Amino acid sequence: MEKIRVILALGSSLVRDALHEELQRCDRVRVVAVVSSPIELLRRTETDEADAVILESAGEGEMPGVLTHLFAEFPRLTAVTIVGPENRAVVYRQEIRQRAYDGLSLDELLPELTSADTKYWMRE
Amino acid sequence: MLDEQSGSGCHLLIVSNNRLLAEAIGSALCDESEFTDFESIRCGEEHSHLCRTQHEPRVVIMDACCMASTADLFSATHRMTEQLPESHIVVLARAADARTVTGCIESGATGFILTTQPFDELLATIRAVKQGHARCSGEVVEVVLARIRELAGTKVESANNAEAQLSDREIEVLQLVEEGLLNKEIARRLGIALSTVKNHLHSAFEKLEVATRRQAVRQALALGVLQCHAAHAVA
Repeated sequence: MEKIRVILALGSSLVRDALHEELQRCDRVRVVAVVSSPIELLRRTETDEADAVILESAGEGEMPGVLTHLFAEFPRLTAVTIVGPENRAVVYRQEIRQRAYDGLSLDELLPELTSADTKYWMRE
Repeated sequence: MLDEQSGSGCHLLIVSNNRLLAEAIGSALCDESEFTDFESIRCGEEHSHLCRTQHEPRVVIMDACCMASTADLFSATHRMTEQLPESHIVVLARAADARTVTGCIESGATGFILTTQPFDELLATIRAVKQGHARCSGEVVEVVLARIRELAGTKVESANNAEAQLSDREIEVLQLVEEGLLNKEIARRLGIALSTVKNHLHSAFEKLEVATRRQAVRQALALGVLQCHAAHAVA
């Protein structure tokens, strides 16, 4: 089964590294890039053919600006935005706000990632 | 992995409202064989957790980001160190300011790490505190050193002020008090009246903001105005 290609764009190195380690242990997920800026996220989503991105968001109500650009380019993308120290999270799939979590856990994150659409890139 | 001290498992407790952070860090540390298991609880649940848990954690990671205030962080850290004297407390914070770092250390934390540090830094901190050492990341050490320099500067300034305020005769009298002489012995040694010795002492008390001979000598020694000669106590 094809692995879901994930990009991590989290500001906290500690959480990013720990999450990276845990996601790498999951059979269905492969972390293809760890980025620290929106520009890099845009660039690496294309070059690494990402199916899902995990990023931080300053506010809970609105979609982060970078996602507007990402969905314009890659409409089938799955994005998990994490807000604030209590990690409330919103999952966007194909530009639609699909689900919100009051405090996202690892067990909740993995199914959201593994149900990402992998057909978009038409990989061989 | 068995705990060398108790022979039972080595447990980790994470106090954080951020489930993803707690689970990712806890799982990663267990994967590194640092702990047999971990539990995560929300901030404010420490007391009820400690009442019902059967395992004393070897290490507690306190997520400072989820505390309402630094006062809450300090009191939570202090409570943890009192209730779990064998556990080592590591504080995890977004930024290091002198007040928070020193407050956490005073409250009993033996480790302080920033979330901007890589996971390997947390791993190194955990390994150090488990062996009974204190460890902070480089940025935090810089903050602590800056604070020590600041305090040392204040102390030197106070000493200079006190030295400037005390007259030569007052310092001389205090030095003889430090050597263990009684007031009448000081009067005889300096060839002055007993009442003059008392006047010098009272004047020194006011300048040093103390009430007794013992306090005056201690304060003058602490400020570096006097040199310690006598091993005997000052009456």
